[in-house]
Amino acid sequence: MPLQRTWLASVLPFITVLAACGGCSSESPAPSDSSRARSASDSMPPRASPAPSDMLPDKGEVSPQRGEVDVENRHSSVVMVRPYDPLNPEDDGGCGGIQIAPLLVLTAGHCVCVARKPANLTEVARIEPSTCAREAIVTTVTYEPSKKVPGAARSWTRADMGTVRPHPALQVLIGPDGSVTSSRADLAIILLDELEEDVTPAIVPLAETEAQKGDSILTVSYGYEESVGGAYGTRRLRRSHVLTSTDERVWLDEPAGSHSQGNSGSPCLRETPRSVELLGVSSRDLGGAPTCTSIHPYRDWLRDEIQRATPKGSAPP
Amino acid sequence: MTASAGTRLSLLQAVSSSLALLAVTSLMLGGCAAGPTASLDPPTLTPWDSASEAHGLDTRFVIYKGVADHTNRYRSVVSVGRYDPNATETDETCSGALIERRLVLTAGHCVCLPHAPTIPEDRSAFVIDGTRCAAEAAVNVVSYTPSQKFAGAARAVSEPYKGKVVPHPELKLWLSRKGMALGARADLAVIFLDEDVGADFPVTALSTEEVQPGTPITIAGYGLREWNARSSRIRRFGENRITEVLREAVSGSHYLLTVGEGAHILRGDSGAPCFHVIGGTPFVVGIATVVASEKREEEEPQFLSVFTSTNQYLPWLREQLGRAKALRQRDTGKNRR
Repeated sequence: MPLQRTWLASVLPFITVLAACGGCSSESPAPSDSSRARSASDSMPPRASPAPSDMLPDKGEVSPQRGEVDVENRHSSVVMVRPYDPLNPEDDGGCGGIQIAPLLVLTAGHCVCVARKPANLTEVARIEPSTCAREAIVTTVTYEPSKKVPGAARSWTRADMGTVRPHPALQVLIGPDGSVTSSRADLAIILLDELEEDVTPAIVPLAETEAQKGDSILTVSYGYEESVGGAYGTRRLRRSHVLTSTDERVWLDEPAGSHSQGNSGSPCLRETPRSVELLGVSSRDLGGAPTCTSIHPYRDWLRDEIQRATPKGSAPP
Repeated sequence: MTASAGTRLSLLQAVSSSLALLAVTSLMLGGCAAGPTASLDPPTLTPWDSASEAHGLDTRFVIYKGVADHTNRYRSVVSVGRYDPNATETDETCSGALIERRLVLTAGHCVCLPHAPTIPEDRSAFVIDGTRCAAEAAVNVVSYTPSQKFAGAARAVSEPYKGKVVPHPELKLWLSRKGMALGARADLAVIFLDEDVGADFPVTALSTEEVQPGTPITIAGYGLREWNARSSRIRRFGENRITEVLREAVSGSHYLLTVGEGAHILRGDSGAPCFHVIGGTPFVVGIATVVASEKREEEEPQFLSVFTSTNQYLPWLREQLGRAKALRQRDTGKNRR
């Protein structure tokens, strides 16, 4: 007997329905996200209770689920990154990155290197330099606030190709349940072939000190937003604080419900009253916890890479 | 009769709970929508439900959502969303078509909000009609230039516009508690742009002929690339064929149905035009209303795309085109003075 067919007619823009309950918030990300978060929790230190509200940045108009759009173009050094697949060139990646020198983009290792599947289901999957794509596409977005349409922005998007240079010590082990068993040097550089435009964004300096509990963190990313239909590609700013940190890992107190996929590789910036500096690289989509890989243990490697990428004769940043 | 309606409802629930995105939608609605107390029984009218059963489906179906429009063939296809002057950003979650330099055609449900039914005849949990429409809509006109260096990439320039929303006077959609469409009538709206997109802009024309089953069509929009996938909002286009022209008796609406292999509409494509391309020139024949999916165990779902036929609404559309032209001429005259 054939299976009975059931059809599901759904109105396409879910925002129409979602917007019907303006003002209410949901703490329910897609079920797959919450289950991933659960499976990962064993390998992570316990999360502290959410920060008291007086610690949170006073940004009343910003939805905790979404973050504000960078229409003022303050962070044009933050880019989208995807490994280049000649067989599927249109494939949208789901990662971020940051230009740390005119021709150099820093991202997460797991954004451009795949997890090599284990021989059997009980073993871990490995992400290592040998599993990396050779080339990656870096997409840059420039915004300019519209004068005619308040709240909207004009945007220019362009794509550039570069060579992937993972950190030599990159090693991420992923257990059969999808949780991260261990993570080392989850960083990669993309050395751009050339920049056809003269636009060089303001380069954010590397942090000189390690993350401290309570540091104000600004994450800038292009992550998928379920609230706007699961689309990727709008640069948003989200603020949080450092909960705790180890040698190379920083845990953030990201507000509940704010997680959207596609944030890995995006910069975790430390904001102080005087400056903004690059503290780490988000590993948000790996294991499901709001964490960043601190660049502090790898700053010598980064400086070497910047030195190599800087044309002779010009001063290093 | 009652029993069969109950069975259908539970089947719908079973299917929807297996789709994460729908589950989220229902959670959010369930958690905060206090108003609606209407009966949960879907209306007996489900025009595309019965139609879908009439079509055998190819089990080798592969999801194919067209290619990126990097060569800018469908520049007249724009992204559309409600505009809130107090918001810090605009949400273009739909698609639409520029059918005049000052006029965008889209789906009514893209710019009007669902609400609890106000008349007893509407037995659905929610309805969408002309009473809760946004005053203004945001529109993005996107132009691409293919990359000279490698395939699959392009430069894009996105230019925002906004304008006044006018829904079709007969607009009505019936929605289940989970936000699924149970029926629709005249799911159309137009947006009168504050500003002309430019004299050299390649706007598209409406088809003056009714399409027949078997007519090849091109769908272009900013929706997701694959079912349940996530992607950036890039304009894509793909081809398919009209399977059936459904003249639904109760609502009086005409729909263009497409089943099976080929391009389909996905999330974000609501309001997207369906073109009949004649001699290389696209003519609008329909506007994307809903997609129905058949969920299968361990397999990709299959689709039925439903477009509101524009042919039926040509008198109203021509009236709007005339108003847009008059508006443009008036403003041009003003600028000259």
